[in-house]
Amino acid sequence: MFPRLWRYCLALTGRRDLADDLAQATCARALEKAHLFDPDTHLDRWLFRMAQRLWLNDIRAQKARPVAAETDPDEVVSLQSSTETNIFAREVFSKIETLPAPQRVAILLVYVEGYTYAEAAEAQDVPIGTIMSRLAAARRKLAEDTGGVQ
Amino acid sequence: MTPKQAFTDEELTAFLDGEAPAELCQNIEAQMSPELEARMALLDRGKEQAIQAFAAALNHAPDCDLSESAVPHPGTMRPAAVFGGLGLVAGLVLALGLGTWFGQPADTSAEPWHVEVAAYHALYVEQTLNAANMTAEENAQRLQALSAVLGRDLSAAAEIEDLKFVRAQQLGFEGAPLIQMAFLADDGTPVALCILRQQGGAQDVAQTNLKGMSGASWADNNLRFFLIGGNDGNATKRQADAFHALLVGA
Repeated sequence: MFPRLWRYCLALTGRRDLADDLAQATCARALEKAHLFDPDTHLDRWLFRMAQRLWLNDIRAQKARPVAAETDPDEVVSLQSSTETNIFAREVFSKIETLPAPQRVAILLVYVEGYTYAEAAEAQDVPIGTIMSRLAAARRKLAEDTGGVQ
Repeated sequence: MTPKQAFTDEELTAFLDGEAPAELCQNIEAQMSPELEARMALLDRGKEQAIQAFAAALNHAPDCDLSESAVPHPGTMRPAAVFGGLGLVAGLVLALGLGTWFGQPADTSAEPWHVEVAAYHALYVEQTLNAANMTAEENAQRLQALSAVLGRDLSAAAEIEDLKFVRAQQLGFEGAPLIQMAFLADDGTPVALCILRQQGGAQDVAQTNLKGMSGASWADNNLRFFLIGGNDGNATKRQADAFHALLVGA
């Protein structure tokens, strides 16, 4: 599960070093809140939601961050702006690195983690229509980047 | 005559994902056209790219270090002190009773490309391959092209008993061509035969288990084979022997 948590953090942050930190922080927070975890629920979803909150809180706390989540969530953390420090093997992630973070998270949750649209919407605190838009935009962008559009 | 409805990418995506309301599904199916099929094929290609990329990303996750010396990266997100704490994951394992949940030990005996293939294949479900929509002619042409890449005729593998061949595609591993032939078992289980062009010694069929799936590998002097999918070791062995007989070369 830890690799899946880390991958979710990578989708959120767009950078390996930040994903390392966020996954670690999520584990720390989960320790603090362990007594609140209901074993009959999905641990992975509990952790994903925790990671999401930590990340958004961190964005809000750091006013120096160029783009704040509350002003334009679709622009939060582009890998393109962090290529100097991104130590992740770029060839692996290059296909989706150009997507805005919300689109990366949407496709990860729905297509990789198996969330329904409703579950992804709840996890992201957005309407289902927003999830639909993010998925459609991400699919089209990825297809375009691989030469699928004439 | 009812005028044709223009569907948005969002609507087509929901249709492809099985999330569209019944009325929308009926409208799309009623107005299916080559143009609409092309748009959906395009959107499907984008989804496939995303799945592949995230499957690959999983293999780059850091090890889950359970030791007391597991020091978190300083990072730029916050001071290390905030993120810090030693053995956090170990603590979480204890706190939540997740002995097998975190940090599942890697199969250190597995070849790296087997691990990559298994991680990718673990994401496959029956619907993934049902959506492939390749015609027999397209598949034959693709197999011919991929056979040329490997220098080995793959057409016989598409006719194997017990498995329905769905599609083939070229991937890559460390610069070498890696061909994936995807099949569906009778019960809908996705099975993949992956072939890496890499010179080495011949190896007999050996069984393994990766990512919770049954696998089998073998090799000849020019190609390395890895079959993965499902949990039935006997079926995997039977299929591996059949593929071995059909495809193995000098």
